Amino acid sequence: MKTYNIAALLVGVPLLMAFSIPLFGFISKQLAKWITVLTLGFEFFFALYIFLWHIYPFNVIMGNWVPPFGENLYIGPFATVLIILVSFVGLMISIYNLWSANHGDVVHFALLFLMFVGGSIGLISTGDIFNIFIFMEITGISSYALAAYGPERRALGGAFKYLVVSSIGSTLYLFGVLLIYTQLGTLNIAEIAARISQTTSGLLTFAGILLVAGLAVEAELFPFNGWVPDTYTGAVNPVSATLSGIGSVGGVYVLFRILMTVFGKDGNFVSTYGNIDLMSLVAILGSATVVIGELSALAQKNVKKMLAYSSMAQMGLVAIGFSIGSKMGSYAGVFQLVNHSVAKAMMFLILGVIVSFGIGERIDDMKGLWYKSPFLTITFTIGSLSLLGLPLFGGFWSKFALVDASIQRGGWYDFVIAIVLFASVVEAFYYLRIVGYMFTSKPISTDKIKVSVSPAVPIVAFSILIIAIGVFPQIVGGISWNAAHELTDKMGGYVLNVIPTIVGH
Amino acid sequence: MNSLLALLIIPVIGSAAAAILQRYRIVERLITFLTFSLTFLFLFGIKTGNLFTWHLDFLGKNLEMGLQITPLSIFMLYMTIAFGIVLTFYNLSEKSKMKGFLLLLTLAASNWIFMSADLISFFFAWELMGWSSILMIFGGRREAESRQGALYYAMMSIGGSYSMLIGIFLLSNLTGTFSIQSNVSYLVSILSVHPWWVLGILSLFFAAFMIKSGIFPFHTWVPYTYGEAPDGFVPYLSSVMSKYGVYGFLIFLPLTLGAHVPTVLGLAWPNYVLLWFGSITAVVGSVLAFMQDDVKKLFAYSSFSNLGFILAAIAIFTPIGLTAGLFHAFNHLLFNGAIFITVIAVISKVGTTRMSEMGGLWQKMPLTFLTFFVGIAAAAGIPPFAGFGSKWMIFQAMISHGLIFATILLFFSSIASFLYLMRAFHAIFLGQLSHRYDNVKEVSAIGKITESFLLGALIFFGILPGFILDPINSIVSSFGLKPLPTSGYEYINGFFSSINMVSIFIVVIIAFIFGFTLFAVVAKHKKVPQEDNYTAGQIPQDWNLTPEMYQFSYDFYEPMDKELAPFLKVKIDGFFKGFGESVEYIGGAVKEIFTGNVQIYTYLAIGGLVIFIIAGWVVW
Amino acid sequence: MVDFLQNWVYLTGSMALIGIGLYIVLTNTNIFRIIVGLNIIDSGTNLFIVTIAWHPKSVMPIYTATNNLVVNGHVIAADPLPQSLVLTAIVIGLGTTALALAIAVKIYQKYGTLDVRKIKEEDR
Repeated sequence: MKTYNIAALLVGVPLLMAFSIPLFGFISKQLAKWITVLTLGFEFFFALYIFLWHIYPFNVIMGNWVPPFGENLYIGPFATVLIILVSFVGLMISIYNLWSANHGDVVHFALLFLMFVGGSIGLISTGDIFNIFIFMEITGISSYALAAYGPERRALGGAFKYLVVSSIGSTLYLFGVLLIYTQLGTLNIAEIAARISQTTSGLLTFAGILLVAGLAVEAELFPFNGWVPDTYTGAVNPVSATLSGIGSVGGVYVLFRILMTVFGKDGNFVSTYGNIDLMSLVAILGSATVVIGELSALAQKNVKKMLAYSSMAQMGLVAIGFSIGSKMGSYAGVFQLVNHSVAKAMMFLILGVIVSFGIGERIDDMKGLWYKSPFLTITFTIGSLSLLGLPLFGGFWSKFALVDASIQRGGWYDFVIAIVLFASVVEAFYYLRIVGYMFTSKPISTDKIKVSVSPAVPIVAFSILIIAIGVFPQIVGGISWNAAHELTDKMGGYVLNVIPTIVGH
Repeated sequence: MNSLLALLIIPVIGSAAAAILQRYRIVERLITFLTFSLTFLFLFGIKTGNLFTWHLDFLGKNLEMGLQITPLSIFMLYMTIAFGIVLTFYNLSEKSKMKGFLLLLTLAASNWIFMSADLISFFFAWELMGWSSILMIFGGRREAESRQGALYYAMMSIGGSYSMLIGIFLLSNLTGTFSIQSNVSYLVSILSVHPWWVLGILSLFFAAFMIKSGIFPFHTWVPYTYGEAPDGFVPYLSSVMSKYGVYGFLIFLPLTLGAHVPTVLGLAWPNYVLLWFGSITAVVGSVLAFMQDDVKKLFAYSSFSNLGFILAAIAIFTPIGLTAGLFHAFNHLLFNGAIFITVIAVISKVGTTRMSEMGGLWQKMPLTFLTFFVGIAAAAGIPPFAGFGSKWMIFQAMISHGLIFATILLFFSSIASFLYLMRAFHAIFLGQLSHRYDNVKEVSAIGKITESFLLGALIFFGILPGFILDPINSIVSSFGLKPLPTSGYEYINGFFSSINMVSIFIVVIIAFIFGFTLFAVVAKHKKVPQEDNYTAGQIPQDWNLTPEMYQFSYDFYEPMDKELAPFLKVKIDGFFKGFGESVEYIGGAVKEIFTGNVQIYTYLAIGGLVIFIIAGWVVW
Repeated sequence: MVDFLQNWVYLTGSMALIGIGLYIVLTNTNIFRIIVGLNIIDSGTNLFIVTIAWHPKSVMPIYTATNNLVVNGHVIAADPLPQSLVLTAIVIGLGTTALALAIAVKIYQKYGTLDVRKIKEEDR
């Protein structure tokens, strides 16, 4: 077991800074915003350091209470790639916020934002299923409040819907956790994972269903994702970007950490202990999500809502990728998660810039954006083409890997991938329709849009990242493969790294 | 720098430069033109057998990616890039809203398609070409329609590439490699054992190629897209982009050579099926073409009708069939390029695409008229212009296999093409000149240079086809077939006989001089305006007559339209559109799940949970 | 491991609370009642957490001279961990409720209604 206790700062610093932001806020509002940028910059570079110097996988252990007795953080390849992703997206959105968050309660907005990102990082790195619940609630409460931020009343409605569905979801999750606790008397992921086969299988199935149902709320899987369109549309654009680029990442991480590491039964294709195979259940949910998300987006006239539905559908794709259960499937899932998070966050930010210039958010309002701002048009196009899985952009490789993985799995996954590809054609239609509106139609007024530096930085950075992944897929590919290994080989990849002395099943 | 890599990198760099400088129109166009020319220069550095491989750490493997040069890829590269130079040169003076940086991306993708040695690069390039051309089509003359056209194309194109994607993985999961060569030879090896399985894989690939080339039954997008694309891009779509499908077919067609498969009339049955697809396309294109009044749509139909000829010829896959198909591919590029460039020149001058609003333009645009005339003569297969030789060879190839019915179809299509080409020719250039066009001028100097060049090429390759048949012969031998005998640049050697194009040329010239002398000496004619007509005492306005109805070609084939009307009720186009509409309808219904009421969402979540628990209970 | 199924009274109680809570959330259209429902669900969960830690014959989990934690080789001490979990869960529930109430007040100010069916935009 390798320990690297200084990495506790990854979780500690953002939460500490979050709650000290009101103090900085007394000095100046600008300082509060800059503190978020600095903190997340620290997070990002620290995570990058862990990645590049290959410090992962390691544990963080407090006060010499070794797991399973103490609470630990475990940062393996999967957590590393997601922490980098989350802190990068968070950093970019916080830079954007320097420009965008300029009215209302700026200081508390910064507080909540930092709390949300810190909570997400905690969620990803913790090694204890009850702590997952706590971090879920930290991100949950901060995101309800974030979603309610803004001058428009629809933000409040969206936030309330999110709150109701999400708190029911977390109750279900907590219930599942407790059922497992009654069986095994431990909350440590590694120990549960090693001893999961000793449980009563009926109760285990019940617990598994509760956990999936609870986590599917965050992971945006149908039918637990009713909140998505209203909340994403209601929230101000940076918050939508945060929810879609960071919140869903955490949800998916936990869902598959539970399914593949805790419940997973190793094999060529990971399945789960219990009476029903929860992986197949998630695959069904994922396919339903993709189809329903894409079809609903097709009928939309509001671009922001379209992005919300598309976000839901993309999470369905990610879920399908992981649920295949092979290494290739998890690889595709991680890859798709990274691509989706980057591209969708960028598109929400672009929409934010567009809207701030008094252009509406309906499709018709996008007419002739090319003549007003080629920069925004091209970056929006890059984002949508990446989501469609077209080459030169990151999404190409993940969709490629996803199709490969499902065809390797064969069986009824052939059917799943056929549905997915059909839905992708639908997706192509509505994204290209927006892009078409942007490129054609001279608008009535061709006032140029001058994008100032602070929103331009994240948009440019995201586009460069998308193209970089598209040209050099190995940037994400290498670590995704390690992450896939961690997920599919639960003893070697996870349990023994946390508790080397454990007696397995 | 490695020439192979240069062919990919230079267009991409040019594209970036053009994108940054797109604000300055002329600079952007100049960059586009220069990049095409520079790419062409690098083409001289590559030879058959050149290889370039690199490794990509992807899918958890160290995949070998590669570029390779075969005689076919050299042929395709020269052809397409040279045409690109001509087109971008012409576009220097063209005012259409084409985006140069997208054209350059398409060029990179196009080069990559022709050079890729593995299926990953092939698919990558295929999709890159797909999206860059889709984006290019946005911004045609009519906004809403061009959006529709591009989306139609996008749906078909993306659907096709997903079908190819599934094919790629079904194949590579069995062979464990992405190399095109080993996959094709694997297919050959199992063809006689699992013919249906191979057919399944092939149809997944062929669907993509058929869509891209506009082969029946996937031809429906072609008229919409060609009709609405920006004027400067249509020649490229028709001349170059339709050839990707042909190239794709040629990758997979050799696999019936080595294996023992059931044959029909001496043709392996997959080839026989393809042949029929090709022949039907030829007929459908021709028949639909002569009902068109929109000139771009008319030549769109004409274009895929010719693709039908090409497919029918290469499907035969004998030396003469292959030679004929490739030769026709080249000629199609040339004459369709000439036709479309002259057509867009006319459109940019008169500002309409409706033929019945044109007429008499030869007086104003004589060089354009001449180029167009030679172009359609070539398209109709009139000697001595390019186009005659290849059609002649196609018929020879068909007859040598005794494919009577398919030959009849192609003959029918060929005759129908006379009808619509005649109509277009007459409607645009002959007849009376409308007063609206009194101020129309001939194209600019750049346009004149382009048109003269195309005119020269049409005649040159018409009378000296050997310059094209030589490289085609090396392609034919690279497929392991025995090439046709060659005897001098002016000869075309067919299956039964060979013809000397130079002597035909001389005969035609003598005939032309004779006819022209008669016309000049004997005929008495005077120029009259359009309205100069007798009305037998009636007032034209009472009959709702407008000047354009005096246009010679107005409802040109009305009697025939009536005859054909019952057959046209079967609309494949309607099938695709209806499918799209029903998907949209379902989407509207599905959207209603998300009502905006949080209680419904809670019901959904709890309902989902209950269903899962019950499902778990049942399995218990 | 504690055989929590022996505490059927508390168990039924917690299930009933969750059921009642869900019923309230699903059938009432008033935002405040929904929040109350969520709160009742929370209480049910908390009761469940406490229940699993204890059974009628268990003793307190602190070793003293008279308090034998192990009888006949079986641990009979109550499990202390859920007691700490429930504190966390209660605090979290409190936070969520407070935020929900704050949002509800704002909703009433902006929408002018507390009926969840009416809290939506025309443009869906």
